[in-house]
Amino acid sequence: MTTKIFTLGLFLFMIAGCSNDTELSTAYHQNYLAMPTDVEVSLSRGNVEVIWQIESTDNVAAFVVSFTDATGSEETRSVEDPEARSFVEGSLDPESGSIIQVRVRAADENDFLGPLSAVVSLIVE
Amino acid sequence: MTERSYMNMRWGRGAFILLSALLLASSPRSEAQDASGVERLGSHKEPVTRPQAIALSAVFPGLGQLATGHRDRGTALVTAELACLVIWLTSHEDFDTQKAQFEIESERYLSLREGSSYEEVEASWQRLSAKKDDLDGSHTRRRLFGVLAAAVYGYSLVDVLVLGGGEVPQSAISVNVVPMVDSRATGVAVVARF
Repeated sequence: MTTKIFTLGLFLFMIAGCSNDTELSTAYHQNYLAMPTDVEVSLSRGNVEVIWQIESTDNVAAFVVSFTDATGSEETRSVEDPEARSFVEGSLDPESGSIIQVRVRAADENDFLGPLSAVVSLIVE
Repeated sequence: MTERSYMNMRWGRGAFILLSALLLASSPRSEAQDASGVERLGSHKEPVTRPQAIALSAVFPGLGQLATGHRDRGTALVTAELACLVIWLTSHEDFDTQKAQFEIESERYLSLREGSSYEEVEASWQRLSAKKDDLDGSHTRRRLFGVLAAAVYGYSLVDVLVLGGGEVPQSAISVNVVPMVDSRATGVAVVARF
């Protein structure tokens, strides 16, 4: 009788001990920073002007604008103003016939970078 | 927990079981055992009583049925119980490993909150979600087979208590308990002749 009770208890312990207390963390990154939209790029007197829109400025502390040339070399500029919707870059000095790809993303105060906007290409004539 | 430490743990358990088996096999016989060694070499027939069969089935499902001569029933129960226990143990080990990996990835995901990018965090999140799915799968599997092992155990007891599994069938002969004595090890063999 003791053996039966012991073995049955062992089984019950075995099953009860199989708890799954793991929890998936909250997806803090989703919908945390909005993605800039309607990005447009233009070239005027050697200056590259970028404009964008953003649906919500919640958690936005800055914008990061990235310029990538045909070789894949990337330069980034930070705009420390959540209300900014444009940026003018005058130091790129693009050559005639070159292509510059531009993307914009929001950043929070801890330098967490939000999702990248769609790529917009500027063809220098 | 890393993959390496997990393997070390498994090897450690395997080594422990092997060592225990070797110690049992090589344990020295007592003087009393040696003195009655000649007598012990013989075998004697012991008809299995119902309480003994119940006790055997309580120790491990199917043993009581095998002892009383219900060969098919006993074999099926022993096999089912062993299969359930093996899958349960394997799933349990898998769960522990995956839980450790999940916790590492979870910490990594949370640590990316500062100074990283959405793409890095999204990739970490995808890995975390996949690990959580694996973890839940292992948990479901070990729970299912734990319940099945308990069910087989319960059925074995019901069989031996109520359904006649603990009674010697007409066709059954007997079970011999044969001591095995040689120069290296001491043991007992349960031999059933059908």
